[in-house]
Amino acid sequence: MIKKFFHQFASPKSYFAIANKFVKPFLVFFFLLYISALAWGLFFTPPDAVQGDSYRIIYMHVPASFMAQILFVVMAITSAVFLIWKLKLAAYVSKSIAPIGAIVTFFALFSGSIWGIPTWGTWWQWDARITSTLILLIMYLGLISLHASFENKEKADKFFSVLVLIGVVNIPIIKKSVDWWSTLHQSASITLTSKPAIDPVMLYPLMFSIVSFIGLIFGLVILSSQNEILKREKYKSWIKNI
Amino acid sequence: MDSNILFIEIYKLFKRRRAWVGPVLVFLLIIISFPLTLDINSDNPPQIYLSFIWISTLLVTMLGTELIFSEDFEDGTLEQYAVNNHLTEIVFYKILVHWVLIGIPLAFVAFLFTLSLDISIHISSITLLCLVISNLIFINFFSLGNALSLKKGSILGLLITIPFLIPVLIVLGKMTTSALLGLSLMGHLSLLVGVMILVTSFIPFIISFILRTHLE
Amino acid sequence: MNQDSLTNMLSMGDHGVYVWIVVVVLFVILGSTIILLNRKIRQVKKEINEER
Repeated sequence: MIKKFFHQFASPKSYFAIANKFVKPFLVFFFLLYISALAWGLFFTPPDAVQGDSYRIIYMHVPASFMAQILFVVMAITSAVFLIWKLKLAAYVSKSIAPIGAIVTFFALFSGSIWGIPTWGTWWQWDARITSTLILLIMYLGLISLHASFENKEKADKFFSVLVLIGVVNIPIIKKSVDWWSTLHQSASITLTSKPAIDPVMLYPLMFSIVSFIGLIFGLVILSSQNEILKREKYKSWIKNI
Repeated sequence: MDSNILFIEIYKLFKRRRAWVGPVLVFLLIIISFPLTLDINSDNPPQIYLSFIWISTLLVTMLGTELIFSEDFEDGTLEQYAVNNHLTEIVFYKILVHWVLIGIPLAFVAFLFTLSLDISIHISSITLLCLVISNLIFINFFSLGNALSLKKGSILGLLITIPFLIPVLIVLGKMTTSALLGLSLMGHLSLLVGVMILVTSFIPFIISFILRTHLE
Repeated sequence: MNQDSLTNMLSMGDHGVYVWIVVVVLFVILGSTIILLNRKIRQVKKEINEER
């Protein structure tokens, strides 16, 4: 589905035109949506039986961790599109996802760390999921610096894409790590198949915040990709008409 | 044609004695330093030494594969291979040769070291097997990193590939724990072997793609 | 809502301060990302216009 979305706007020119029109309202909409989801979770849900009020970080931490992984997968898809169909736009989008992914991953680690202090008394733990998320952050940063270190951006795009495809293997490892190694991090309360272990009163704002956060972050990705397109297509003829 | 090139590669590496004796000696020096910096009398769990060994092999294989492509790149041989479409084969042989001349001796040195620490033969031989397998994985990935930073000679390529090796380290660590507890290792071992086979089959193609991109 | 329950809501129990720290950091990060990206886009557009 995502492939088709980008296939429609295969030329940077048309993609940029459409993005230009929609990005601001898109961002505003999802920003407001997320704020309302957060407000719901922060103020209109009961405190947790065990953790009290500090559990509310979940409405920020879980969407962020989710996005950190989703973004890498999306980046892998656009990288594959670039390598297979030689679509330059796909490379531009890939490259622009990396910084956003790094930011979101950092925030996931940070919010999880702060959450850990009142809950488990520790701000860090070398368990499987946390460590593999840290590795994810390092991969994002490594990808960013890799791309920056090459003067020839066409080559940089190719190397970047190859590495993303190798690195995407880390994502299922993160997802499964909580099941393979039972450690500090609690296992998933929400799975696709079984009934959620979390109370519906807290589940609904959580789902709402996840969905709105997805939109919000994708808005940022679109903004970032606009920036990348402008930088890379600076000397092309269509640029003059914006 | 294949065996000729394989022998040529072995000979080339063998000749540069420093290139393969060096890493083994460095490894020896590093792991010898570990008991020195720890209190010998205190009861250190063998797990600590084993994890030192894993990390040291990681670093030393990184050192050892640093020049895997640079010589050929500089004198134009790499371009020749690319033109004749032998690049993937050559990469595969180079990796194999590095593994045989550096990876396997490393594993044996580590084996002797673990025996010297009074770690049981059972655990030591498991260590040997694990090292032989994981060294091939390491060498593959470090060659990938080297191929990326070919022209620049910077450490960036290597830095980027280390995160991919961390899952391997995690599995090694899990294996050590299970082995010390006497639990079955079949699961971990088959995972490791599976990864090794996958990696060794696909990485040469990826590396040759990267090298070709460099040569354009 | 009277004053008491408002303060109650905002303080959120004894560990509420952690939640607020995360909220603030989240919005700082989001806000600065958006502002930074917009500035970069404007910068490039300016350069393109100047070169015309």
